[in-house]
Amino acid sequence: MKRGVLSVAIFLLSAALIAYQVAIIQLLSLMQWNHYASMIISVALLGFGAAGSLLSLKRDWLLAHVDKLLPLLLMGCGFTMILAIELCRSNFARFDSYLLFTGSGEWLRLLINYILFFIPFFIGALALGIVFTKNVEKIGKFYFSNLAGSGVGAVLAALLAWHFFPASLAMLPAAVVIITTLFLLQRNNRWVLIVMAFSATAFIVYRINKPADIQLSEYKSLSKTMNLPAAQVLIQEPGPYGLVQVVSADALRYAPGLSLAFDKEVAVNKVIFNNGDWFGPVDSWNSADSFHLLDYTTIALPYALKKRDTVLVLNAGTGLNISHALKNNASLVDAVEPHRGVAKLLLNELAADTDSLFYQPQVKLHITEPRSFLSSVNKKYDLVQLPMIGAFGGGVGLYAMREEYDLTKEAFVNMWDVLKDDGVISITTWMDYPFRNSLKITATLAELLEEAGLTRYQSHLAAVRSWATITYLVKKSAFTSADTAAIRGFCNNYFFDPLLLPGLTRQERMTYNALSDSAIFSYTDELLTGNREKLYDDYGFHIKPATDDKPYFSQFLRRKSLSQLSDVFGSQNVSFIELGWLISVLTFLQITLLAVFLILLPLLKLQKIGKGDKKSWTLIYFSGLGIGYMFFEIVMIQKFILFFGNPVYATAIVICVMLLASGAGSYYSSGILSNRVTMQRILLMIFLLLAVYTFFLSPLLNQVFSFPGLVKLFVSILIIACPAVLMGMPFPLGLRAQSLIEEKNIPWAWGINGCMSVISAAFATLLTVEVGFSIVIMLAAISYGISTVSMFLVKERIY
Amino acid sequence: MRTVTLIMSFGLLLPLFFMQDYTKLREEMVKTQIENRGIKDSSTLAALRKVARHSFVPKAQVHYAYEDRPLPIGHGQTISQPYIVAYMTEIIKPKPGQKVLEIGTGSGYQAAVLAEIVGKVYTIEIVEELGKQASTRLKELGYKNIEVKTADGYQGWKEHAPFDAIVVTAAAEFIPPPLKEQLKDGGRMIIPVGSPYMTQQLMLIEKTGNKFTTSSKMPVRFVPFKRSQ
Repeated sequence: MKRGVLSVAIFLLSAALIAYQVAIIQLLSLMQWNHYASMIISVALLGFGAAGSLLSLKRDWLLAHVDKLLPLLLMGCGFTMILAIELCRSNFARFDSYLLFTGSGEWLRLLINYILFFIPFFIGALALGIVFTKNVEKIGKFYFSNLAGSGVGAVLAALLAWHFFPASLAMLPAAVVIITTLFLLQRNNRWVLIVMAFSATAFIVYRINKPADIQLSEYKSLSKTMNLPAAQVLIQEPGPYGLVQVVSADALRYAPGLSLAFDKEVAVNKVIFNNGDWFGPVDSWNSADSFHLLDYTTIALPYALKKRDTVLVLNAGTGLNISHALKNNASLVDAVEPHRGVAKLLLNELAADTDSLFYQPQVKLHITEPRSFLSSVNKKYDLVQLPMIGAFGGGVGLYAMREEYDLTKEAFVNMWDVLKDDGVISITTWMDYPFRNSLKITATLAELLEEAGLTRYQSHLAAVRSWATITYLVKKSAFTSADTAAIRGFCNNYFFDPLLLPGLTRQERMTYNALSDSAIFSYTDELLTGNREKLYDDYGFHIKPATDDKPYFSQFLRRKSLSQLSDVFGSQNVSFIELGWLISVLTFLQITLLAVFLILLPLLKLQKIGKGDKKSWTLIYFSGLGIGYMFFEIVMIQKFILFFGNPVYATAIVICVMLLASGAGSYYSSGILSNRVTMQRILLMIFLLLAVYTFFLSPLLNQVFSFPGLVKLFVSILIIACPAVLMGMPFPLGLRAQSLIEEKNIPWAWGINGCMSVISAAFATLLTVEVGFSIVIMLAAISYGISTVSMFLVKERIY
Repeated sequence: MRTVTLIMSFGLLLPLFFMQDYTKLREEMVKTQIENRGIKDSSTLAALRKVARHSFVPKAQVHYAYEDRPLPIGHGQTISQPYIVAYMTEIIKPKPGQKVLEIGTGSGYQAAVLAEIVGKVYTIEIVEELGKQASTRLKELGYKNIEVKTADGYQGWKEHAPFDAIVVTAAAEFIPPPLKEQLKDGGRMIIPVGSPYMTQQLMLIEKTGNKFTTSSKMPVRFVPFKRSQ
């Protein structure tokens, strides 16, 4: 087989495999929730690990039949890609995240999903592995094709997500793989494969034109809404931010925690859903309306104190807070919304529904990340408003593993910096029980004030509670007596109760809305006046403020609180209080078991080869590379969500840059001698660079934030690419060294690297939630450090 | 011949061995799930002892009818956990002769329990099919003091207002203003806060003149229901 054709085939296969990963992340985010991104990355890597194991067991036979096998493997890969998409939607394999811990066997369906998605990656990786093993002397060049293809595939998938629905998007890589097969055909099986290729392509074309119905989890907001009479989806638009759907129904109304003093009509709204999750009601505001619904909620608190001329609405969503500001006579409203797909709909198809809200002269829409906007804006505001957080009656922790950079301590500092002297930040939360969101907000605001050098927190904080919501205000200057009188008046008019107010009495806190558990008051007071750190330690949930290093505002569950929760709510209900973290733990455990099994299997077999082949070096060296690389990659993805706006873009761009850079490093490495000193020097450079990142990455990124768009992108690429170039070298150099030490162990080395990557990808997500990004980067550095030291084990074999 | 007769008799009697003693199950449910958790109102306890809960659940769920959890009844709706039904009944302080409005008929079980105590129950269901099923079921069970309407519960039932109490069985992010207006002075309204498949808090709203006060009650724990096929 010609080397050029083989390189192209590797490029296309690698591109398709990564694009397929991005596409199924999108699909699972729609059908379930966005917890499965790291699971899919792990499943893909598991495919690579398992392929390495099979290569180690059947190396000679596989290499002897390489020409016949390659087209068959590619065809198999394409077919199983299609099959996995078709089957994961069927009753047989469709699982529901909500029911994973209810003993209804859903975990088995989840396992079936692993296997369904694992197969195409396994077959594809086997094809790649055979080519690499057969051409170990030119590994650098083929490895470059592999990495370059992967990089291009990742970005292409993110771009194509604008035009294809998730299930159709996943069909495109299958088509690429199947067509690639045609380049590799041999004489003897040519016609069978051609017929198969055309049949599969015809099916893909059919599916793209007529996408199959996707049944969402019945517990998703959209599923519940579609049960309402006359519910119908009016518009649906795919995109990398998710599938946007506009729904109407006769009884769809939105009035979050409406005051019991409200005696007017609540209008019926259309509602926007993103990936089946509630995004917001289409604001039926009309400039001629005599009142605004939000005036009868705690959200109106900042306007109860004074007129707000300049308002900054972050994550403006469907615009409810914008129209509220206009109704309260704001002369300038800067609205920041990162969801490009929704913004486009509101500006075009839905403009008439909102009385052209976004075209009002006072309104300026900025389609960007709130943190980016905050870093670059030079204006000062009377009010900075955040969207409502949590869910009615409390959430179930489905956002626990989601990076929420707009709710970190650093984000609040940014907001504080753009406030006028008497400006306020306003944030509203649904009340939850056990108390979580409310306490974490209080803690965050207290630490913000501490950071601002203010010690009398109570003078700058106010909060008002209705039967369902709490709105917090933090004011740059101290609240005046006029302010407190206005807040008390606001509470009396609308049957609300003050939660925080200078000079507040104990009785005032439950005038209209009594609580069965009034501990929220003592906890709140303790966070402001007592030993905050002690409460952070003692409380049953994580209520310490989120930071840019650990941006998981909605992650509340702690290991030690599991038994406590079980006692209070019953063991079966714990998963319904903090589901997200538990799903991640479950997927990690399942994937680890599979990965260990895949490492041990060939290890036992290879033991028969005999002693003296430096298996311990292979294990340590390639494990170190696998762990270090994946820890760094996962942290970069999570960190750059802040820069690129959403997980799909961040995943695609980071993977693309890392793979291209690593590919370049790998290509360059083919001209380097794989001797111990060179390898140790490269590994040491990686170790040092990652050690520097541990301490300086976050401050550096904060500086880069305020740069103009293209400069920011360029610097971001540099930050990712610098270590990635170096990180692309040790693997091919290691394989060459392995060929000198014991060539038969090359597939095992490949398998170890793959399996360690699997475990690390899944584990990194859990680890960042617990210890933060900096520590995980440090652990990546240590992994490379261990690989560096491991070179001494083979000093007598490679010089 | 005698052997054949014996076998046939045994065959006919066999199902009796597997039949559930619902009265016993109900008694056990009231004792362990309701009384043990502090429900004391005698009329509420009597109503729960009397109403055949298994008649209100789909056939596939009959086996679980008296378990300590909500059950799916189709259309994404549930029949509430027995304890929630009991709690919501007791807390509105129902009395004979009273008029009660229920929003969210569902299976009709809560309406039936209320109808055992009060004079008249008006109940509204938004899902047409559920409304029809509940209406037929309640008629078959002989409830003459329950009126079922298929409509959006938001508007309440103005023709029969004011009500002594309103029971909202479907969680809502806001209290519809018409419902407040249709509540008598001194009347009580109870609503669950949170989704039916999560830990819920019940909230009591009391009307005094033009003023309203709320009080949240203890969260209710339950066993989550199974996948609906």
